[in-house]
Amino acid sequence: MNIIAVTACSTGIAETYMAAEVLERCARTRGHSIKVETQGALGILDALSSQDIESADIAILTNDIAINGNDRFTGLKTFHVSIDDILESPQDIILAIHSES
Amino acid sequence: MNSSASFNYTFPLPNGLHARPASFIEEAVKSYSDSITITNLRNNKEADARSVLSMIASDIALDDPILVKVTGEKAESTLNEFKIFLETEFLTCDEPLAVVENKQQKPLPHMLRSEELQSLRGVSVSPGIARGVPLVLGEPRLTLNPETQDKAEVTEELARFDEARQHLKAQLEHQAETSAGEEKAILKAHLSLLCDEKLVSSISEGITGGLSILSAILKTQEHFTQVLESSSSEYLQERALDIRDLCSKLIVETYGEDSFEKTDCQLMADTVCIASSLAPSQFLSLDRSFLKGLVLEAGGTTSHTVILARSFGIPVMVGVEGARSLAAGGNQVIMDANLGLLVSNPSENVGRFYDLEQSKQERLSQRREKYIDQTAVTLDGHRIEVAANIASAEEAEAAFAQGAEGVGLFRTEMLYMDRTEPPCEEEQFEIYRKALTSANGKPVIIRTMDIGGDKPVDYFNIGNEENPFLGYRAVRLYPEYLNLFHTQLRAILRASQYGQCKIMVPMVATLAEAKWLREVFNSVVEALKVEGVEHNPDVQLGIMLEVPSCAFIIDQLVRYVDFFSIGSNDLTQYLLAADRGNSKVEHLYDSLNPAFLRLLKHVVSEAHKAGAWVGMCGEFAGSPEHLPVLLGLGLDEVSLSAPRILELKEAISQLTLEDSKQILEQALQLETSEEVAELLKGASQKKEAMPILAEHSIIMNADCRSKAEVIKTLVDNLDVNGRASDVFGAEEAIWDREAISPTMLGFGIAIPHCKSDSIAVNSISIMKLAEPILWNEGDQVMTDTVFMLTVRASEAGSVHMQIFAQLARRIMRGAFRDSLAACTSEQELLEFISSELEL
Repeated sequence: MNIIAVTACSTGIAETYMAAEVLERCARTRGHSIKVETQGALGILDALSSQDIESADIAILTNDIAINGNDRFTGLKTFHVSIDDILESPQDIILAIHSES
Repeated sequence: MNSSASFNYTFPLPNGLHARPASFIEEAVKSYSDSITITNLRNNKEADARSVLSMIASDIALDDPILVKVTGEKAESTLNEFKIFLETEFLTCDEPLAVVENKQQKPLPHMLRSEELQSLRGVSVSPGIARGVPLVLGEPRLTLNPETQDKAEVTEELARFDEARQHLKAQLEHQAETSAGEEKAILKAHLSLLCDEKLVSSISEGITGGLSILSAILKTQEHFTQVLESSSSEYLQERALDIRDLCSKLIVETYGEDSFEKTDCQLMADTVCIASSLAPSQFLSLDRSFLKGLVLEAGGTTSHTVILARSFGIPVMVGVEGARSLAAGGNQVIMDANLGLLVSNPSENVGRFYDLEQSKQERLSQRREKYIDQTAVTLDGHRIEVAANIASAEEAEAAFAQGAEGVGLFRTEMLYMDRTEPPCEEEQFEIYRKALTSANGKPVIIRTMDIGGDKPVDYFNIGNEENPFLGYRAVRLYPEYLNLFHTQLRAILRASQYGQCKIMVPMVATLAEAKWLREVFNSVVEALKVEGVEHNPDVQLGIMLEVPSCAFIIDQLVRYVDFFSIGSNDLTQYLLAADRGNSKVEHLYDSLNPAFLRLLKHVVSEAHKAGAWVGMCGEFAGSPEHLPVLLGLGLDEVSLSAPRILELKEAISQLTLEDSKQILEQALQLETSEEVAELLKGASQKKEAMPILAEHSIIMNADCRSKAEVIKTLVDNLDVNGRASDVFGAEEAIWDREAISPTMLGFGIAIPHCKSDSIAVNSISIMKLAEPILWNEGDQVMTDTVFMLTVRASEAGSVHMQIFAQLARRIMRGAFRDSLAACTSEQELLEFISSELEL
């Protein structure tokens, strides 16, 4: 499966990157391809291109704070989760989107 | 014919119906012939509007429903008049209290906020933390025995009581007339208590019933204090003190001063002394090896005792109303004169908070110790002298031990106060010589007496003035009291052989005054010469620059005076025409007002143009946050209270003259003092580069028992290492983030973090706990490792942010965590993280 994600947290100095890290590791160990865009104190890193979005099966978007460019994902299947959920049980999230798609 | 009328009323005053508003009502209803009752419908307590005590006893609090009932011949019209009174005048009789208190109080830190404290707030006048047993001083202990007190016939006793009461009344009336502000209001409240029908009749009835005056007063006192103490309002509970105070005065009036024993003040262990107010002699009789702190209920910050205590470095808090009753119930107290907090019977957690706090203070003073013997220099080599303000010769020694490079202001008023005759030349000479000897060659500026209507001295006949700050004071008195001024000049000139001494005169406003001063000075020098008395004729004569008029005649003043010292408090007040003691206009009293800064700039450059030395000795000079302004102005000296000297010297060593000049130029162009404050806050954040992670940021084997202790310890550590600009703000920012969602991760690691303008240096702090703790109620796993990430507010996209992001990602990797767990020393941990993050 082809997953894309955007992570963002309130201070932008820790959890944005932690969540990106666990999503990437978890998805890859289950054989999915993933690209995570981080929106934190470093600005936007690994920005998702329109090609990334077009070829994706599903988008995971964190909902702790509003993310930039939400409208890019119109028409794509999206999955909204909190950063805490990602940090606590990333496997559950990957499993859930797998069974949904 | 009697009729009655009534209306409902919701009680509008924030502190409830306490003594002051009650005496206001009592005063208002005096003129009515009808009787008025006030019923508190919340508790059905009924009060007579003619009795302050019965009104207080009805325990009326803000928003209580009240029924006002008038009975008499003119019930309807009386009711209307009284209603208008309650809806207009009455509303303004008790406003300032709550507002003023809240504004001055520093907020409590997180660990104390979450505790239930038996505590009171007050105003700190000498900083520090003290712990010990409480000792209440001056608590009147009765020497008379009510059981065996002699008594005369009932009629004779009644007459004697009435005489005592009338006498006390006259005395209080006199005091109320000669006092002002809060004190006056309190005296008036005491007066109306003394005239309270219920109080007087209760005592009289006791006497008629066969009691001695003493027993009757004590019985009445007990009755009313009980009523007040059972009140639900803390404010009213404290008013019980007023009743006690007044009853004690009545007893003394009846039976003489010996009615109360002088209290025993032998200190046996570390002690915090608590008193309503304390005479200097009483203070000096205390054993200072055990005296750790002093708490006064009286609000005065300039009393002799306060000044003395400060000179000994003893923490002092004033204005702690109710401190005696709070301490009476405690075995242990902690007074925190940094926060302005007195805690009785502290819990274990509060004790641990203060262990941490004291250890931080010790580490901070260790860090600053090296500045004691160093002169203050900026990063780019600019010198500014940092001197101390003192008010007694004893303080000089303490000031030099705390790093003073001189005395910029030796206030001499204290030598003149609280005595019936002025100090003679010899007495003054010895005092000035003592100060100069302690200075050991460093400069000492002695300010001649600054006496006026607000600092009354018996042998100066100044009288009551409408506005003492614009009145007959300081240099304006000297021509009338020329002998006293001569005596002081002679004493200083004689002492000046013992060190580097300068003379400074307060409140000069005109060139004529300066000219006159020089003539008097010259004549005194001449007289000493003729008499063959040893002195130093080359002593410099300067003036305080505190009246704005002086700013525009500096080129002329230098013909007669040698130097200037800016008195920033008075200069601010006179420039902006605002009394900072008046809550309605205190916001105008603001030394960051750009107009004031422009005046300062003008004064310093004019003085330097004329080749004169210029310093500053007001409160404005005492704040590190004002440093860019003080440096940028090019002042030759700043003089402040001794405990802040090292902090200021350290702050100077971290700034440059160049930057400070630029900041001042920017400030001068701003429109409001808020903008100036904002600019200065930003400026203080420009610190020299420090690594994001250092060995001092790693704490192994920490003995912290809760999340709160972990956060406090780590934030304090930032402060000690100069990584936080505002330790309180930094801790708050961490807790604000925790409030959104706790930062505990599933594998025993917590990552509290914040991005805040209270952070001076981007930092990673690491703590490994000796015993794991529960980060939050209900966590599945205990926490044993904490990473605290603290980032400056202005940071964006920098190299440092990449390090934080990398660290965050690493923490999520098992291999990283395993290696982390294997590290056993600070050094090892530092090396591991540094190599992982390529620092």
